[in-house]
Amino acid sequence: MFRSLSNKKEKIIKNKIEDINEKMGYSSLDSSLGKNIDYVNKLFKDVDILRIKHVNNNYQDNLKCCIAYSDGVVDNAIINDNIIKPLMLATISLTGKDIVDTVMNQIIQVSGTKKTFNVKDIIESISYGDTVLFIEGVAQAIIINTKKFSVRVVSEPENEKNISGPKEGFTESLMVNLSLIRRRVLTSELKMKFYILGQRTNTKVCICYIDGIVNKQILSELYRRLEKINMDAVLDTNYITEFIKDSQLSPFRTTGKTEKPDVIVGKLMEGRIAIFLDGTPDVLTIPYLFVENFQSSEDYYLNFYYSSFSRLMRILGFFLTSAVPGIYIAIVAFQHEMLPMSLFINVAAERQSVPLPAALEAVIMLVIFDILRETGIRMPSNIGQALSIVGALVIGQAAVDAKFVAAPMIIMVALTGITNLLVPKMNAPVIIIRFALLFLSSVFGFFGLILGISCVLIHVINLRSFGIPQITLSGKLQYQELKDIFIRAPWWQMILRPGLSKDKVRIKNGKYKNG
Amino acid sequence: MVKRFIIIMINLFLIISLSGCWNYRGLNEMTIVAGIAIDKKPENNNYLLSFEIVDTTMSIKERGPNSKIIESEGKTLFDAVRNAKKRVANKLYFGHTEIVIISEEIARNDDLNNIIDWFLRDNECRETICFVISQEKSARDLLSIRGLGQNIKAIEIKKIVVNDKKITSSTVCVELYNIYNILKADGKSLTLPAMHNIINDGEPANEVNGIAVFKEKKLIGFLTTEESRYFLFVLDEIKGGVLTFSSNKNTQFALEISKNKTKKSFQVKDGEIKILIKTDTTVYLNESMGYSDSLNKKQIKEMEKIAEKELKKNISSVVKKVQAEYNSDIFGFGNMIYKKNFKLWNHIKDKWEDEFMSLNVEIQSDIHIINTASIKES
Repeated sequence: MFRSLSNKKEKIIKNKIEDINEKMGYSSLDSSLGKNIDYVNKLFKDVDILRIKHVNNNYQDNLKCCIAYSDGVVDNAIINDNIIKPLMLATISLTGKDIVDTVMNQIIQVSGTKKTFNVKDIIESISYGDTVLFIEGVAQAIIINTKKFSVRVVSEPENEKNISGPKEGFTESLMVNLSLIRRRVLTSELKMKFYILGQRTNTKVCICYIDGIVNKQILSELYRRLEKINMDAVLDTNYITEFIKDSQLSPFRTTGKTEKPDVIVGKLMEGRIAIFLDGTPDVLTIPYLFVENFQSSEDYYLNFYYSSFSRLMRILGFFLTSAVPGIYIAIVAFQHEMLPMSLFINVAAERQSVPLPAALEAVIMLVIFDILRETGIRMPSNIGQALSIVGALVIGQAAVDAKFVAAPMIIMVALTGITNLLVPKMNAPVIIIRFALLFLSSVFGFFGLILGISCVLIHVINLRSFGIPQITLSGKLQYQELKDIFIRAPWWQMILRPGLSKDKVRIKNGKYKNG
Repeated sequence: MVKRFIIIMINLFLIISLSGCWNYRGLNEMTIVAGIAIDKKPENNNYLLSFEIVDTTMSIKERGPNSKIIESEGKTLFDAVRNAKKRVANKLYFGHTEIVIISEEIARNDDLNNIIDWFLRDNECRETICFVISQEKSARDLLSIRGLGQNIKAIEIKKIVVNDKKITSSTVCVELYNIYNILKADGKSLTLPAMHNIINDGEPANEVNGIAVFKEKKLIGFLTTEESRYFLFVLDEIKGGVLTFSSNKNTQFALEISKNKTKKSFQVKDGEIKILIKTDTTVYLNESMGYSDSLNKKQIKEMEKIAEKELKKNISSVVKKVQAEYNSDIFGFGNMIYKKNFKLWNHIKDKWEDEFMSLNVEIQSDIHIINTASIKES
């Protein structure tokens, strides 16, 4: 009776899969081995890395098989030793048994096996480095895990270097990345849900969260937004970001991005959700608060006095890099009274002999600086020296000596450029804000500058990330929540998690014992 | 969306129409005026203005900024200011003007209101400009000599005047807005710093030389630097400075003022107004000549006594001098009555001039030597 029930179930599934196959334009598998092989050959026409090998059992004539795999992405040793060899030498009698189950469970010596009717599955598996086993007389196939590709080794990420703390970085392989997370969080509460994105690329996405901490509303909102993505290729997490972001035209980030597993674990522990994508080392985290722009993983690994100071520097850096050119122009072109007498005379003397008005000079110098910066990123590393000579000497010193630009302008541009490096996560908004403020202050002076800053503040305060306000300004702001914003309080002080999580208590003792 | 667009347009309109003076004016499009000297031409009674402008054309890297003098003439101050433009490429800029020097002649004969009026009305001038009375023949003489420190005379003069209060207390710096306030106030007369040229090491230099006393908008006389100090005691404006006393022919000692609090009050007795001035001064003993190196408590007490007596005498003599010679209420006694007893003030304000001359002023002085930089006997 049980058997018939499972047969019934299997039939229903089979029907369904046939439906799918038909819909996708695939015909279903046949019980004839030759036809199946022909079909696979047809599907992979002009794909020359496809390998097909017939394997016949030495003792029983009724076990005739054929394996199909892509060359280069499989582990040949496994195929030889654990698939072909047992299949050839198996002496188990197959009469009266389900041939597929027997092969899968008793002959093949590989851990990952799965039987399928689905042609789409078969295509994906062959492409992804699995071996597909067809058996004569069975309209099913067995997918055997034989993946092996060359993967970049786990190394320190170039963009997020730190002095102390973990130095591992993600690679392009999803499984390696997940393993880096998995071994840091030894609880079954760590959930990893797979999801497929990209109609053509069929890229694997893994959504990671900790069950007890995550806010379920945010999770369901994430799934809702992921459903809407209908791209045919997803190569980097930024593809997803731009689809699922809240204010889609805002230059500000509303999703986080990191290459470091320790950062991801930290974020998971604060109730955030991580989105891994196969093929990229960048991992998304949502939701994203505005302070995260100024946080660095090292803040938590170094002494809290030091990291509080450096965080304040980063916030100051954000202000300086976006406002310094504007402030300078407002002072030298409008509110001259702001400068003390002696400084005023010095700046005036410097400005005396240069040809361009200060505002135009500022725009030109900033553009030149951005060109230099972009060149620095794109150029081959062995001409770096030439660039720094051109940048520092020609644009800087020579331009001042030749009276093309005033020396204070060079100082302002240098200050802008250096402080920009303090907040690498804010590159996009900073560049827009900087030029907007520069424009406003060269038309309206300080009045325009303050107006521009107000507009930016209004925009930032209105930003949301998956329903969570990026900056909490309302009355429900708690003292606890301020302990990781401008400063980084010592760990024993940060009893509560940020407000977005379900389980708010991080340190379960004392006052907050029962949540 | 439409609503939003309208709001943005309204805001943009407001920005342009409400933002006031926002003309773009580059630093190279202005002639920076550091100081102004106001004289009068005797022939046609025109104002003769000398602007000290900062010379930004020379390289300032080696020698620091330099200055030049531009002269101009006009029927009024503003006329003269505009006439100056005929000689320079760029419009004069007064936003950083530090000092205005008025010649003694103008101060004695003209209404001071006429002079400060333009400075108050002009939108560029700061209300913190210092006014100085020149004791030389013309106001220009103060600006045109080479100073000891700064290349720009106006900055040097301003620093001399402003920093004076803390260190020597020999003059008082009155800023533009205060000049106006004092001129409009009841029962108070204006004082301005006075300066003259001296010869220092064979070269001319500026020096503070006491206080110019005004009576109703016109200069009436000067107080010496010594007198100015005691005048500042009455005003409760003293912040530092040295008091030198001698107990007999051979001994002298110098006290540095650390803190002073002056309380002024008045009493009315039988229709007579009596002013009480009580000074409470904390001083350091900085120098003693003719005493043995180590001082005992008795000697210090003795010094305090001498100092108190002398201080009282000196303040009293300054008050008497002002009463007798100038009859101008620069101490603000009348203003004190005006503030504390308005009825009484209304009663006496018409005859305050006579009243002030015969005012009975009683002075009490308290001096505490708190630090003797004790040199011990070995």
